[in-house]
Amino acid sequence: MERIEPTLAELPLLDADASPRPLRTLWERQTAVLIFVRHFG
Amino acid sequence: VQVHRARDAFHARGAEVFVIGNGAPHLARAFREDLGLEVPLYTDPTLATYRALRFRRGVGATLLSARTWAHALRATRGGFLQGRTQGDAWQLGGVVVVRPDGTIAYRHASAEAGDHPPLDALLAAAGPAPAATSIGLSGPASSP
Repeated sequence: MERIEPTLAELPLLDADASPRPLRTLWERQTAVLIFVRHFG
Repeated sequence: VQVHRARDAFHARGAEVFVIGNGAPHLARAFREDLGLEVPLYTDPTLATYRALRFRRGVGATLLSARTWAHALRATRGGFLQGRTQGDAWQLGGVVVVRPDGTIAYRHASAEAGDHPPLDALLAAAGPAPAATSIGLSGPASSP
């Protein structure tokens, strides 16, 4: 099964307060359904 | 939005739903408030994650796609009106289901705007459905 590449896992996301967190933290505790939207609108 | 409404079903499978956009953080906040989203919301203004996941980008797959307009018409008929674009108008999205060990259980890259994966496929990728509550067929135990 395909795995997330380590470099991708470390890419930062920003929350609504502009605080960064690595992408990998979204699936560390549970299965994560990541919905990437086209844009906000 | 459909997946957001099914959040409880994902929770029952031990999964969490995250929405990730590409506008500025303050736009993410407004997006959450406008739609009443309760799922965790993040943004990647650099689009680095979109590129790494090989999500499509371009005017041909967005504005110039006849299927995009068909999806938009269907969404409008369903009562969903798109607001002002806040982010990269040419970027398409997608959905990835990732397990705690980093394996990708499901991947969908939108071919055009409005191309979404079926909810059933996402639920199946999230994990097995919880066992149904056992209901006795013989009725309540009778007292002697």
